[in-house]
Amino acid sequence: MEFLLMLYADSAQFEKMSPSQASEALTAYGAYTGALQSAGVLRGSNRLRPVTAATTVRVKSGKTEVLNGPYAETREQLGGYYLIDVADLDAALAWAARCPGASHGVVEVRPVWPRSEF
Amino acid sequence: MAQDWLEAARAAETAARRSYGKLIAYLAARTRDVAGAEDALSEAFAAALAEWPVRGIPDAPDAWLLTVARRRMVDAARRRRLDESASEQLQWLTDLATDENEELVVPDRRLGLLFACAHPGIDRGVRAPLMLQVVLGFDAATVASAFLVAPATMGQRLSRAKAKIRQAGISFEVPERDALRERLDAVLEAIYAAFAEGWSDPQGVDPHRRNLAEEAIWLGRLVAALLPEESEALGLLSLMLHAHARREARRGAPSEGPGGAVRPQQQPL
Repeated sequence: MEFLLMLYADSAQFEKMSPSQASEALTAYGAYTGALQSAGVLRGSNRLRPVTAATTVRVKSGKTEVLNGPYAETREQLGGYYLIDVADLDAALAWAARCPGASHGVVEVRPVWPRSEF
Repeated sequence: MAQDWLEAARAAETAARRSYGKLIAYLAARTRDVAGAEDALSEAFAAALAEWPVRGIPDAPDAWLLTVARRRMVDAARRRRLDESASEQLQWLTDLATDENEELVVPDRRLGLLFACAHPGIDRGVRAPLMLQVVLGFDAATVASAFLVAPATMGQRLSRAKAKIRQAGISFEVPERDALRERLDAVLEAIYAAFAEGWSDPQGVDPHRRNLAEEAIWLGRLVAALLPEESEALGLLSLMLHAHARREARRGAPSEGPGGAVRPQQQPL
């Protein structure tokens, strides 16, 4: 079954990192992605630009409203995701705990809603 | 006839009490659909009450109930999911329905069911009620009054927890060695919560709470029997047995006040 691991973190923390710290973090993510790949469970993954690059769209009575910024202003923001395919929640939670994102933020684990059950 | 019916009813009830959790655990293990398994099993019990008085009680009541419940689940899955992606699940259910002749003994997956009920992804407060319902077959109203919650609220909490088990992919497997200790603590905690609810009615006079302590002891025995190496499970069981053995002495007659009668001390003059 598919799970989306959503990585929430304070992007200010990343900006404060020294170049060596930043490359260390990137290496950790690279290793994690590699581990998911070699286990054959990775379905997709991306890192997102910080919320300063976010634009929000809403259509109200036929009129499109475009706003600068994220949908919700919170300290911890979605910074990336992994889509994985594993046997059950425990396996997904074990992968989430190994994710570097779980150590400097939180990882929310959400099951994908299968099309057949809409 | 009335006698037959009573006997069949009693046999169905005995089978229900003894193997409810076992049948639910087996039926729900693959699909994780506890609510669906409960529906199917209750239909099977209804069928048993209709059929056993006429045809006699089958040699293996568990297997009989399981066969009927499985058929109900296959029918329900057919009605619900016509999508081709559901064919895999249907295939599994049909496979099961054909192998029952070889296997009359229902494998015991109750331990896995207990671990699912006490999964960290399940709200702590609903773990004990969930166990009482899915492993022991208590109805929502009984569980609600035992935990002093409105029946509708309890029903909602229980169905939310069952939906979480199914949708979130909570497994019915007993955790691996390294995770076992921590997860077992949650199981034992929920069992003790059930026991503690029964504690407030030591005489067993409240019909809604009656047996709750004994049911918790039953669950404690089950875990201790299935995990004989785990000292914590044995520890909880002995604690509950110790407390339960002294229940008669906890309260005296109302005139004696709380804690029973205190004998006047003989003061030597």
